[in-house]
Amino acid sequence: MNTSTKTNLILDITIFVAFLVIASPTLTGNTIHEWLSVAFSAAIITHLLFHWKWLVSMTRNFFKHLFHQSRLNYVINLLFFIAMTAVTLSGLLISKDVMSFLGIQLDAGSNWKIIHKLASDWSLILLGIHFALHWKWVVTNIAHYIVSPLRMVFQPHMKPQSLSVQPVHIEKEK
Amino acid sequence: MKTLFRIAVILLMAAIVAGGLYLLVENTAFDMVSEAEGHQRPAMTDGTANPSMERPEGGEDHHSASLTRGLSEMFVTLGKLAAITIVILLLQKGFSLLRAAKLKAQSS
Repeated sequence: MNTSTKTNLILDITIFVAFLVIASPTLTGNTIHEWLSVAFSAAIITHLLFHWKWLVSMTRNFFKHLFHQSRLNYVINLLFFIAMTAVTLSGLLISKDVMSFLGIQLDAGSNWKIIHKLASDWSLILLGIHFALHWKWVVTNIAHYIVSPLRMVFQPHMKPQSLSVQPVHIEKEK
Repeated sequence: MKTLFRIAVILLMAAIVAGGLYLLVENTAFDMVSEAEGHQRPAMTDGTANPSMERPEGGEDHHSASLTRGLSEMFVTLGKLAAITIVILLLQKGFSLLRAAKLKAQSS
């Protein structure tokens, strides 16, 4: 799936905001918390689709380059995927609204509530690491796609910053 | 078609992880609730009551929304996230400085 950096950034910001809202169920109440989590899973799948090429190439080359920096990134992403799956599974098992809406009655044990809490704590930690590992990408693109256009709105006389090579005229000394 | 196949692969991976976790939790004879409560059963049960009885509504349950409490909860989460990110960035910086110092020592 070929996507622009802008689309990636918009999706990532949406996922980040959704994560913050989902991690605070008191803010929305249980029903929105559950339905937003379902939508969040779809957003995560889209995020994975956007980075499919990287995923496939890293899976193929994982054992070839032992000390490659991307390996840490891959391991963190894998752990994050496992944690998110655990949160979603335990969330669905203890769900009061989504599953009843679908007409499914589940008799999950109380252990799943603890697993839901533990897995969400681990996802928060792994998201922090994931975020830090992509810090340069995030800062560069937020500056380029959000800060720079906003600056243009508030200071329209300023010329936009361009990264393209400008011709330089050099006069020969006589 | 290609995208559908990729979605199916992602869902399959998630199903494998979820299935493994489910089997692990359901087949482990370890009651995390009683472990967390220091093996103390709730005093209101007399031993004849159903141990898997649902808790009454309220307490830790987040069924109703509260903007003030919710926002504070969200800012706490944001703070935790920022703290973790800063720690990792500092660690990265430390490692890169260490590596640079090592390279400098090797070259001199």
